[in-house]
Amino acid sequence: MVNSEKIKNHYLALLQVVEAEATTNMASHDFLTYLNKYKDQFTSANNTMHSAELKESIRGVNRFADQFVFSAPHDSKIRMLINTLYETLSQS
Amino acid sequence: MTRFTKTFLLILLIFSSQLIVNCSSDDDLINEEIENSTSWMDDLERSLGSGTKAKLNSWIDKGLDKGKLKEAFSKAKDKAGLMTDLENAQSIYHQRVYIEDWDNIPGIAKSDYSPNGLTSGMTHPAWKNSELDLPAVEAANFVDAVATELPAGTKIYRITGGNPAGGYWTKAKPSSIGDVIGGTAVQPAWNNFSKFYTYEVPQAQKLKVWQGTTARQPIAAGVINPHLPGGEIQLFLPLAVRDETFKKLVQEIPLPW
Repeated sequence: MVNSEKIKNHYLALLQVVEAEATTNMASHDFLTYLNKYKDQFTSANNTMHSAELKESIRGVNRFADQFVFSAPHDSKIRMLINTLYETLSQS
Repeated sequence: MTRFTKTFLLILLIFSSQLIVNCSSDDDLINEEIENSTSWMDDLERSLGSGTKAKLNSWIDKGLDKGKLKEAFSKAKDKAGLMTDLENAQSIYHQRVYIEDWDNIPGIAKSDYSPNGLTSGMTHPAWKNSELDLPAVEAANFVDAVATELPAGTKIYRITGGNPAGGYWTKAKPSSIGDVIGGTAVQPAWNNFSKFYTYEVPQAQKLKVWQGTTARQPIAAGVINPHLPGGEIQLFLPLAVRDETFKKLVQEIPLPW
């Protein structure tokens, strides 16, 4: 799978997990709002043309995530998806 | 009346009339300023709805710079969007980012941002546990990082409005918000800096952490200058270290400022 699709799919997967988290964890809504701000950039067809900018964005997503307590099944998945996105962007 | 006296009186008359004109001009300027100082708020009240002016004044009362606020709305293409951002801001520091009031955000560096973080994750062979690795996305927040075991009795500190048991800590107590925002490169968008936590490594135990110099961060998305310089020593505690026992020992203490 080319990196562009990988980035898009991973970001959508991350959004999906956080949306699921937000149904039972009201405090995570701010994190969901933050992620939605960057959705268009990460899911666009030419996302790899802006990999440096997206890398900084995902770095910010990760740093912001440190403020939140996520439920056990979602926590490790959220961290894994964020790190995978960062590593994929680093290769682009 | 002598010629000298007449000349003196004439000069005095000219001087007095000039003073009156200047004072009137100053009064006009003052009146104009007073009028202009609220007209922009009245405009926003009309366009963004009832209650807008009260909100703006409440933020100004809490320390938001009126001139910068006015300028931000004057420049904003989406005034409603800016108003929403300000309403939902994490703190006054976050509001200051939205209105680009850089002079009142402590700890920032007024120069261009360029990333200086590590470019890949790290592992410590002696720990033989991938759950204790420093992932790439966390390594990017360090200029340098070393796997360290903090001995019993070591106290570590964390400023946050959110998760008391998150990953980022310091060994040194921060003495100002500038230390947190600038020194540990924490964007006001991520943290409201409202609470202070400490953890002490229990007796006969060691805490496995990654320790190193904080890397730079942008102050906000899309802003190159100013930036957050980093430079302070920070700790990252892997998730595996922050178990239930760890969480129970995290204590809230009074903010140091």
